[in-house]
Amino acid sequence: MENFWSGFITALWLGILTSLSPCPLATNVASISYLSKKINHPGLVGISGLAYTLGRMTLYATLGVLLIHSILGVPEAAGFLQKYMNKALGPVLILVALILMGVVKIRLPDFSVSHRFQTRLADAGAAGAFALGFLFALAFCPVSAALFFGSLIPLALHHPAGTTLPLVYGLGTGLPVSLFAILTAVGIKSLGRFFEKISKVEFYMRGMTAAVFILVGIYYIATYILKR
Amino acid sequence: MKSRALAAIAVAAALNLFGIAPAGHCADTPDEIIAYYFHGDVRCPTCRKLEEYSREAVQAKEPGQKVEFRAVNVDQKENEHFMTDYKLYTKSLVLSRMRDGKEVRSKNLTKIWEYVRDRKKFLGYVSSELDDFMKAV
Repeated sequence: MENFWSGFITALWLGILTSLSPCPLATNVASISYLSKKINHPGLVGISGLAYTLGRMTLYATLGVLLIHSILGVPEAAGFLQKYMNKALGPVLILVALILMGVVKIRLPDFSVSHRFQTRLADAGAAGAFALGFLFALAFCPVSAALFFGSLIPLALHHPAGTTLPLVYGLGTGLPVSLFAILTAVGIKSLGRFFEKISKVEFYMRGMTAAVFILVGIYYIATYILKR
Repeated sequence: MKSRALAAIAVAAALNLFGIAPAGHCADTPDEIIAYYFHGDVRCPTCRKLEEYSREAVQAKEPGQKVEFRAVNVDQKENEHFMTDYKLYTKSLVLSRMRDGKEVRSKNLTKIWEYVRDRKKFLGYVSSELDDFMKAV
């Protein structure tokens, strides 16, 4: 029984370690700037943080099931994700920045939820946050690959509730980022209040987020596509 | 003809007596130990540190304990097979024992990630793993 719970705690800790390690720093900065942009509505920041974490959990859970049931091989999956996803990330981030700036327009699919809830999700950018969480979780770096494929999957293989451990790991990777997003939003809001320019700050946050995405996108293109 | 064959046997016996094995006689050929450090095209700061410490630990071995260090880029087509051969999932240090051109044993030192923030622990871990690996038959 003790091992049962220690498995969950270890999975959560491995997720937190992944999120705090230096290699996903660039994507974490992009996530925080995206999630915290509704500075006037901390509740909405919370919802988008939750959606972002759910996006990460979905990816890790799916990947975990495929690996635990040997539908995918660890070396093949790890090799493919590290080799190609980081290359795709740069152009995708720049495309997202163009969407945020309104240069490129897309229609989001309708959700089968109530109109009020749908509006609230849209306001929070929940669909975007979920997609962002899923996408960033796909881009494995050496440290996250070592922790996920080398520590979490072997742990899950020997745990009675093994397939749920990647979900807990995903929660661990999303929590610090969501927490920082809420703190950033509250911090910027206080700063805006101090200068009595809250509405203006929220207006500029969208542009700021787009700028961060472009910078992170350029970093990924320079590192994974050009520097070869 | 018979005397030539006898002479060949006599020469071989003499060489054996002085510990000199003729070519093709594999039993006396010492095993070759290789320490592979596997990396990709993109070299992150931690990955460079892993390589630097691994190289240092291997080269610190006494001259009598000959271990060859090889850094291999698995993103190059000809090296991709190492990923599946050793079931690699990230930058790794793998010890390999070669006998007569064939690998007879290998070990992935997975804890290098755990010790990369502490040079002393890292060097101690790789060194003791190398000693155990070299002792094992």
